Amino acid sequence: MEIGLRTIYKGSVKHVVALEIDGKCPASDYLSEAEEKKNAEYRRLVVRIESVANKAHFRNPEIFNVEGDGLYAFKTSRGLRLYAFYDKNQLLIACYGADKPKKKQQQKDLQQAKTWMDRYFNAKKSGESIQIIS
Amino acid sequence: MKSLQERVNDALNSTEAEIERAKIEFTEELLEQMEVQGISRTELAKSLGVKPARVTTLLRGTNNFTLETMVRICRAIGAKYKHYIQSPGLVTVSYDALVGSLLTPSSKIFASASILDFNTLKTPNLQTIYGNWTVDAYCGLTSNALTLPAGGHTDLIESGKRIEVPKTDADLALAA
Repeated sequence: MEIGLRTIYKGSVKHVVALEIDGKCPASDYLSEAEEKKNAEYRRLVVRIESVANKAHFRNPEIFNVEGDGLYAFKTSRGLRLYAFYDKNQLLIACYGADKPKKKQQQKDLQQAKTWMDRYFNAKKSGESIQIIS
Repeated sequence: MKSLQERVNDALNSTEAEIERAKIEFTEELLEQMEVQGISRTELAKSLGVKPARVTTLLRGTNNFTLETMVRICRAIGAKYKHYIQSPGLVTVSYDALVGSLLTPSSKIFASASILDFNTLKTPNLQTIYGNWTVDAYCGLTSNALTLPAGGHTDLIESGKRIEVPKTDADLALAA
């Protein structure tokens, strides 16, 4: 299994990266799609990522929310959601992205994000090498 | 072809991004001040004479804050609205990125009158911290940021090991 962490933004407190496993990087794909199709909202999202990365404790849950099970979501008001988790305190790993879900879909999106998170931690536990890609 | 990081940096270097950043800085300072004072969203809404949902909308950052709204919000929590214009070549670093990172005894911190408020509010220890930083101003409601030379900021990021962060989102989630 090949694991890479692709830098999204390196802040003064946190390094935000996109998780890539075996060449698949759903967070990066989601950002690219948003950049192309919803550019204004994409800009809002990346500023929100930047703001979270530059503060140790970000307070506004309308922007960066605890979703449970170790997952967090960067949110924009018009529907972009980028799910992420921490590895130690300063590495924030974006693992999955999806537009604002309806209630039923929300659990599916969170489950997808959790699956990617679990794959990362399992690989790390089994000693797989993890490469940070700038 | 540009990397993901380069594309994100391009997007961050736009007027729209600057506007979004200003909104986030305001709402974060507001929330921090509310936390310090123990004011809930409901209480803020009551002070403003609006429904709690209106406060949530404000925090979402979809609206374009008017100066009038910002002053009203600050008054509602017993604070005063202040703003400043950051000179070219300076960057603003969140206070929590600085804790422990200025402990270099070789140089001097240039404190303005503002820093005294900052010290009182945040940490008395900051008065003993030295670094090659020029404190230019502090912003907004709670002075949770220092303005520093851009070069210094880069050093700060690169010397990540020296940054000691007291509590992060992850710590707080674990504690909850």
